[in-house]
Amino acid sequence: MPVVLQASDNQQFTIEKAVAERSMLLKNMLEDVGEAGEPIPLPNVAGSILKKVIEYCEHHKEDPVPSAEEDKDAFESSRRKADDIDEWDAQFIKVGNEELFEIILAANYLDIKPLLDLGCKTVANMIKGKTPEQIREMFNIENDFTPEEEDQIRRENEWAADA
Amino acid sequence: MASGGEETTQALKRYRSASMEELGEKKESENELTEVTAMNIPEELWAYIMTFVEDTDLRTLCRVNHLLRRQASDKILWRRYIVLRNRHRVSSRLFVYPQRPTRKDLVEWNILRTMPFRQDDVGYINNPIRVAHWTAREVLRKCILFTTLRRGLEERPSVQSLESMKVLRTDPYTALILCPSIKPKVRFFEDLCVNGAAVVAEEA
Repeated sequence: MPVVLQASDNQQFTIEKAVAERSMLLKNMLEDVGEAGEPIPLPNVAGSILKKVIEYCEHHKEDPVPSAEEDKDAFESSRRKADDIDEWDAQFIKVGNEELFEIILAANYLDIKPLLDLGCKTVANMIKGKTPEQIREMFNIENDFTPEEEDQIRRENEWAADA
Repeated sequence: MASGGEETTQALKRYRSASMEELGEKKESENELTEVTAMNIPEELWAYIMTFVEDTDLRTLCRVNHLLRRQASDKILWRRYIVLRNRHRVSSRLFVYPQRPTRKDLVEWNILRTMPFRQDDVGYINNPIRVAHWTAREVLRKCILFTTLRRGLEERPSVQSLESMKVLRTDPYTALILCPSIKPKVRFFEDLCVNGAAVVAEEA
């Protein structure tokens, strides 16, 4: 039984149920609603992003669903590293900044934990080894510190700058 | 079966109407901010991203802007790195109990010969309470020694009285050299042997 998803720009996508169930939101919704065959509206997700998300879900439809227990263990253990991304995922997530954050938002909204993790790890990798100025430039962030605060922060970090 | 179908349709409508309302809201907000940027995404997503960032980069993020500073200086986030970086200190068994041999062990190893009379307070050697006790006891002992010594010196007969008792038969000058009047010192830990000569010279 295929599931029809409708993005915010009225684009419709027909996907298998197994693919849709990668998303906890859709899974719960399908369990509640049953198989009505009507398109499911996803007003928070644009068509282009939804296409990306579906591509990810189709590639990962075979993966075992991680249980909540495992999640907790993964958070507690120190192996919460940003660099264990497999090749397909790495290729998949090679997108522009704006699209990356939109994918993260969509993954959060649709509750697809592996995709959310992938997006967040990518952001963490982008941050790695950069200076504050480079980060501001990369994410287009405004520096909202006053000069006094800047001065104080610089003094806090003086010992680290020497090393 | 038909009622079941109706129920599902209604439920779907409920979902749909809720999401349609959201859609309306989003359309309103879209007029103000159309594109998604790093600062537009909800703050809790940044908090989640922070869990993947290493501590060196967290320190950098603290210097970017207010939002990231707040998110990157989260205590729970840092706790993991603090524990990780100081593992050898935190988990040392020295914190659990002192890794020193007890007096009993030393006796067994033939380093010490005896056990103390009272067995109940056998701690490890140089345990701070024992050291404090020992120091206090020594101070008291010296204090008492000094007091008795001074009292004894004060009671000693002078040269004149010795002469009048016909014990000494020298002139006062020689008597002074033979038997100088020793003033007890106020500070009781000074070495009498070292300063004794100097005192004699002064008297002379």
